Amino acid sequence: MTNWQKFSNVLAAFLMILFGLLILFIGEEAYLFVILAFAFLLFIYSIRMLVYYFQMARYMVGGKEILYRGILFLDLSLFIFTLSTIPSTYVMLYMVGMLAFSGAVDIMNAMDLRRLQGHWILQFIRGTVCVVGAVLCIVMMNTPKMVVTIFCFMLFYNAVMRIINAVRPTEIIAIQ
Amino acid sequence: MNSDFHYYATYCAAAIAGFPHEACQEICYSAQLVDNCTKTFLKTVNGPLSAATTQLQSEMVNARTDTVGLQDITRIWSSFHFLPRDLNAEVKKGSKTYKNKYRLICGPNGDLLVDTVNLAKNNGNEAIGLAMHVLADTWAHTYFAGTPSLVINNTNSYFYELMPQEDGSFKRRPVEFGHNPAAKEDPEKGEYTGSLFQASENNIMNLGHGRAGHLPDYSFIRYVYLPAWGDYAEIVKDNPHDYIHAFAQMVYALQYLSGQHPTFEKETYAWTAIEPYREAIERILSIRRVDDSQDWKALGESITRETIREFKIDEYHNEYTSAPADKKDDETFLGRFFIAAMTHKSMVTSRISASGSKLAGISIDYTRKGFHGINDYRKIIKNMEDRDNI
Repeated sequence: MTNWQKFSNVLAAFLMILFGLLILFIGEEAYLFVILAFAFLLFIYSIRMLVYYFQMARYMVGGKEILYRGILFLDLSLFIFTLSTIPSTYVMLYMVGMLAFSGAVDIMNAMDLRRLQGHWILQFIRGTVCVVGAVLCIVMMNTPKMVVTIFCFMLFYNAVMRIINAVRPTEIIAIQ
Repeated sequence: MNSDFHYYATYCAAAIAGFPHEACQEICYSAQLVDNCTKTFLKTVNGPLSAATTQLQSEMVNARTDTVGLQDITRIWSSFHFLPRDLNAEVKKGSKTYKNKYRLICGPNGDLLVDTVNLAKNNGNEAIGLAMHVLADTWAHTYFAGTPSLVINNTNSYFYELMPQEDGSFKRRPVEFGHNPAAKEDPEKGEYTGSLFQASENNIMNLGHGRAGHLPDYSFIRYVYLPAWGDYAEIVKDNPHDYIHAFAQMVYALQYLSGQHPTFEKETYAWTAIEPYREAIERILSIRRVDDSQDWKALGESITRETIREFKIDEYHNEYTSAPADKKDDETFLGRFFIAAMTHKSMVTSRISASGSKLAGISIDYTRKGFHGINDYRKIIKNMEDRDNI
């Protein structure tokens, strides 16, 4: 990792932690921030996909598919931005769906790892926690605070991983 | 390539090149160990994790594909299984990242192959075996890159096996890949397994020849497809042709490493040396089956009149784990293999880094800047200093 990559990773991690603390502090009203954050992330993702198409994928056999996906996600993100009010229930359902799906994928991966005699327990626990979190969200459907809390923990987790990666020694020695 | 070629065929090549039986065993064991030396294996013997030469499926599933994770993956797969053919290839399309990935495409007879073989010279049978693995894979894994990349490694439904006909022509049979990694492959029915399509550039499914399944690893097969990087031009992969070249080049490289040639030259093959065995070798390579081990073993034993031991992953465990710490690197087979692996990985990474690409990580010139970075690599510094003292 170059020094610039290390710096930008640490900076992004601190911004994520700051944003997470901010919306935790605001409390349950912060779910609107969550919606905006998701729309923004989707927007960034679509732009990245379009940049990926113009820089690399257009030279690939069948690369047009990347262009179509980019346009589709861009359209979806702009559509979400235009919605001034979304009932918190829909946001909850979206979060629950995403959480449950990610948990299920983790559990399936853990089962594969177990079959391949790999380290599966941590991934299984992570998947189970996600699924349990999703169930808790459904049980407490009327408390948007849960959604905000889960979102914040996802931010903190990613921030910590970024910092850990940024400080890991990575250089290889070359003997001429 | 599979263990039939990396283990038994490498034994045959070493024997034809003139190595005695025990040396052949060490060389072919080392060549095969490249496909088994995972971080999981290294943890079991308490070896340096940076000496990993491959990754288990379970390790890859868990591998992160951020910058650091991708560099680790690329170091392993580009160094040992997909040696880049031309790091300075002229690429007239795409961004810098695209060009860097394109330049990692594997192929035979590149400058890095010469560096690989030269690095093994006078460094023991472990380094020789490792180099033979890398050399052989440059033929099998041609056209794919040892880094996760959709734009380089993807394949699509335009994929046909060329089935030989009695009149010498070839008939195209469509190949449809299944995606269950536990499923058995059946060449007779055309049932093969490949990785799933993933639209993400750096997804682990897009590493190497995953999208083309195990087809590059079968010596009998010929197929035609559209590589993602190829501007819709068909590519024909003729494995029987490539595998016999790999074998003849291995024999030539082994002759060089045993002092029979003054230099190692590209595009040079030991056709004369393999001539007495060529018919038998071509017959083995052309049989439609997924494992040729028994035939290669029989050929090897007919050459040296010795019994070839089966490959056992724990053959050198005790020697390594019971050796004193200061003797492990010099006086044990695994210790010397780990040093050879890290030295080779360091060499390939520094060449990639020098070409302006950071895909395999950053390389620091020890002689100019001293030691920085991953601690495991202190071992190769120590090894170098010990050799200088001798």
